[in-house]
Amino acid sequence: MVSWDKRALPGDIIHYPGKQEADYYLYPPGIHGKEAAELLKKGKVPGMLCGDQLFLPPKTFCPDEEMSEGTVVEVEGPFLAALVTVIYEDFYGRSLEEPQVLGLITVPGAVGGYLGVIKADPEMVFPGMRVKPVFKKEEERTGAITDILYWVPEGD
Amino acid sequence: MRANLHVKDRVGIVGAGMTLFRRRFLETPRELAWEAVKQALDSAGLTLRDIDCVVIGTAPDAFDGIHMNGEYLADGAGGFGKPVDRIYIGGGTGVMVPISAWWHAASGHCNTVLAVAEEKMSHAMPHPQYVFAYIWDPILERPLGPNLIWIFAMEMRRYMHKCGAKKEDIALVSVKNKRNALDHPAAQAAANITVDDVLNSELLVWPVNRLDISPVSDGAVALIIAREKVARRITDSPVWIEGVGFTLDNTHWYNRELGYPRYVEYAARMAYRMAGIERPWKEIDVAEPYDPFDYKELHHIEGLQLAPRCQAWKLLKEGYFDRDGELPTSPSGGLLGVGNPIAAAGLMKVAELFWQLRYEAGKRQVKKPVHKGVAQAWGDLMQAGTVIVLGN
Repeated sequence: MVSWDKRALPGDIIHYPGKQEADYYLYPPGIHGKEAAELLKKGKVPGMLCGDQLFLPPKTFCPDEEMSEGTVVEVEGPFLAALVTVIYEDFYGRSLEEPQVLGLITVPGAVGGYLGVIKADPEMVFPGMRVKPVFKKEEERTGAITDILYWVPEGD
Repeated sequence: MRANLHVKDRVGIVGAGMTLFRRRFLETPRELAWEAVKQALDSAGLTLRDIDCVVIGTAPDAFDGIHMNGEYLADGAGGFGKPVDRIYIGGGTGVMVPISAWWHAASGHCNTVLAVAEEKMSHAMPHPQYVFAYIWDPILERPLGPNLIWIFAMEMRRYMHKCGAKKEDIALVSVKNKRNALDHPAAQAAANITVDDVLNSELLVWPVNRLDISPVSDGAVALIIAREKVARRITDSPVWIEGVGFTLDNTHWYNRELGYPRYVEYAARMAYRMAGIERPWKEIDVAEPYDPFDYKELHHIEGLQLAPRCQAWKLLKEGYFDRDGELPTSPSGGLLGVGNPIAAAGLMKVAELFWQLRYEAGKRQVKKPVHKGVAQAWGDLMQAGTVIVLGN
């Protein structure tokens, strides 16, 4: 067996470039996902109620024995970063100019949460800190999760 | 002679459900699975609480466009807080899912198993056929840009040459199956068409025309499978899984005899041996051979030993495989008529046998009395055969 890992660039050996799978994908939001998308476009955070239990993010079905349907609702907060971490490198291993804070955003009593970027000093973030969403301008929103630009500490 | 198998318990199917099969669904893959599972549970009068284990099947992740698609689907398929297994053998998946569910139950590990198959092909753009562009050898074949239809066209040509069948003889399969599908409430491509319609449809790769091929589909199917003692508590009429078989032929399509599906024959012989079936052409009452192309149904009928080699097309012309014929094949309407969401299509065939053997198929019910049925699927790199024999 021969490894060329540290000896050559791909162009130095006989090789066969390839790629995989379709050119791109279109993922429809699903039945209740459509309602959730409408809420995001309005600058609201969607959740799902199964009985009295709030789930984040919303899905059509509740994780219960009857596999019942949930109801999409607006979640008004209070939002908190249940988990936080700080990213120092990008996808390719390059150092970021500014470390980026990432968190799991939820509300007390809810099951689940949203992955979100938190605009905050990495030294100042902690699990359980209160945050609030910052949305794109209304005319730029598309009903995607990226309509939430980022989250900021409550009070900022 | 039955196989010398030591299984803990006999295993039966006690419920079934399926979504509509359609070209493009708004529903997510998870929602499709959820809808089929709910139907299956309702049909058996069960809830998720009654399910011990879950088996999920989807074909390539690249259709839904989600890596680890089985795990993604799991909560829609009821697969949380329970043992969950994913089956992943391309087009053969749909029949391998209930086979896997069978051994989950027959081993005694699980009293009840939810068997779910889902496929959402419409995510892949510009067309799911592009997903197939990457199943080929990356050095020797891919640079030539082959797609599946190229190879199937050569295989169909080989069958025609070897067996003396003409295109119009083969087109009768499409006519039959699309007609049968008119009675299937979930069907996507049901139609009353003629042989001329098939022959005059768009020519894709000679000898394959548009209407020789099943459509691109989204959909999901679910079955409830249970050990005998549990099955008998759930229903008076379980449909028993009497035989299972599976085989891989040579990986390289160019090393196989394209005129005859050995991968089906070996899998079928394994399933028949377990079921104690010695003369399948006499003992099988209804069959659901895998029919993504019309010639493949003939191919697979012969592989299933339901007709002598090269004779299926002749019997077809005599009406032998019609719903009121001697040995009805694809009474559901098959993939050509009901649709072809890859993994779900195979499980749809098993669900059809379940309904046929319980006399619950409505207008699709075959005329003759039915005691045993066989369903089969085909996949992986075109070399996988999966076969299941059911009895009432």
